[in-house]
Amino acid sequence: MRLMTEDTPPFDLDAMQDGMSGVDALPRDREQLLPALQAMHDALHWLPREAISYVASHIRVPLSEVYATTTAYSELRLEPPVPGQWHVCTGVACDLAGADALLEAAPTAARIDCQFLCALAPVVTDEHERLFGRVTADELRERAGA
Amino acid sequence: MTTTSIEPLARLREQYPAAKLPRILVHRGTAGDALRAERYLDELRDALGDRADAVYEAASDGANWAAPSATVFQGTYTRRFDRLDLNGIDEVVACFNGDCGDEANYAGTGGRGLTARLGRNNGSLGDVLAQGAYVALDRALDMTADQLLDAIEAGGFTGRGGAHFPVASKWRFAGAHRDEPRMLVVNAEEGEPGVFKDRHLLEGDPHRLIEGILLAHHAVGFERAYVYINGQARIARASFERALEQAREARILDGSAWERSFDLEIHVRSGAGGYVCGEESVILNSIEGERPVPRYKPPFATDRGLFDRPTVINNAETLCAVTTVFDNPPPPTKLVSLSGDVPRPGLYEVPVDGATTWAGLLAMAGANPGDTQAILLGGPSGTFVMPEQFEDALEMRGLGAGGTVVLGRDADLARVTRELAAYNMRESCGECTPCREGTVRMVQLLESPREHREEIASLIEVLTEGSLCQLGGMAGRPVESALEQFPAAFDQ
Repeated sequence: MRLMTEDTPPFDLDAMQDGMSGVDALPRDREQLLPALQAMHDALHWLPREAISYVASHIRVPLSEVYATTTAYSELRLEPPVPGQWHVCTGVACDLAGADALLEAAPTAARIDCQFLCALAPVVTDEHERLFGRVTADELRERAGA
Repeated sequence: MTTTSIEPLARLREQYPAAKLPRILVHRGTAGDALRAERYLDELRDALGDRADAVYEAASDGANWAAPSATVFQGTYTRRFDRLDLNGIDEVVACFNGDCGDEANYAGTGGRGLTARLGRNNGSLGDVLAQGAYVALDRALDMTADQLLDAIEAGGFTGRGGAHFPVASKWRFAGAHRDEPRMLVVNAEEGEPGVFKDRHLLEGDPHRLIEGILLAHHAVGFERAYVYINGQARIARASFERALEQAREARILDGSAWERSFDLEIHVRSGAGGYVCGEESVILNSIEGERPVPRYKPPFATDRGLFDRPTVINNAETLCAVTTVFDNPPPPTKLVSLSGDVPRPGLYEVPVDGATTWAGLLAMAGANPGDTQAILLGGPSGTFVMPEQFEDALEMRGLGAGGTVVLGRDADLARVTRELAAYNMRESCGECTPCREGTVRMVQLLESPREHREEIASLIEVLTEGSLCQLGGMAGRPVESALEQFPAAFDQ
């Protein structure tokens, strides 16, 4: 895991403000820990240290416990998303339908686990996590600009 | 009471009428949107001109192979038009104008079972009321809790998340704690690769789940219900929340439409990823704001679950299924998410009546059993169904959560097995040693499984017996099944 240092990537201050408002709207109960992290994540699309600290103090849970919880959920990102990053689903159905060929066609695309759209395999997602079904190599090459 | 039971429903139907015919439903939802189905809404509205208000958006009807698609409801018949990306919208418009061709009776009007209303309503309360929503609740409210539990027991309903525990027994266990506030947790996390049924149910017929929740509430009596929805299933969550709002406004949620007081808080929560989050005790920790790891059992959730309260945890499909309790007889069906090497992949409501076989299931999806090497049933916790079993009848218990991937002639079975083992390794939460270490070791041993048969057998035993939850407990199953059924596949 990446260490949190002075080099922490910058985050969008307006988005942080939105995230803080979202957190403030939640009751200060432990059961709101995940909803609070999600409110921040929805606003920023990742969780910088400042966001996690804010949630910890609002919910009144030790920062270490908030980190432990955050790292347990695969959808909560601790690094900013890569702009323009496409993902190719590599679940069983997508693998059968040619996920490898898509990864070859778009070398900058990354692998991602099952997206639960198995009947429309092969499936890819764009940088906004929008799903695309029955994707061909040509279509991905064109969309991903690879 | 002098009122008859039909009156509250009749009032609701009068207040919330169904959209009028003829009309066109464009199937969106996760599946439609992944094929950009929204553009056909615009195209059809343009084509219909001053009758554009007859075009509505609807959810998927489960026929993912047909997407993007639209269904025309014209007088007494309906017809779905498939693959608009290939076929265009001309035939849809012609059918709306009265010329539906020879296949006018295609889809019939409304089926039975859980999928009867999927893709057949425009998301309004009026549409689903006209198609039978809340009829079961209306009838149950004339019964005592015990009578309802007896009816559910007689209907043979079991948990559809995979364990198939009898619903009525679970409800009675929790209900026996009369002096404590009781909790209901609806598991719509659906994090098992290959399964997409709960998304369809929540997107296409969220009122069925609400009705199921209210039936459970009538039988057990809860203080709160938490509906835990997969974090990526955003359309499902939005659809469910919209339905909750409709039910609240129509005074269904608080019971006042029936001049009752239900006194139930319903909370909606989203997960945030992780296969283990579908495990029921992990969901309890997640809702409480704890680290999402499994709990030791006992105590069982029905005694001490969410916030230490007696808790019923039911899969979303289970609660939807319970709404068919008064069908005569309740349809013995199971939702099967079918994908892989078949011409018609999608969501199927399959009769589990002792007559439907694996070959029959393949035939529904247009596949030839002769072209099928195996069917993976249950994803990373699953087993392989081999051709010699294709004539066996489907059994409710044997279907688990109903995730099936058909592996055709060209599929590399050893690769599939290794991918499943790697998935279990990545998704292990690390809370218990057998799973944390064992799933890693399994991946290593699968590099040359024939030389490590004994070690693998012993590792599977450790995983099965020693893991804290069923992710670890069942992680060895696909490997065991693969080495038993097709050991030669690992030689290449």
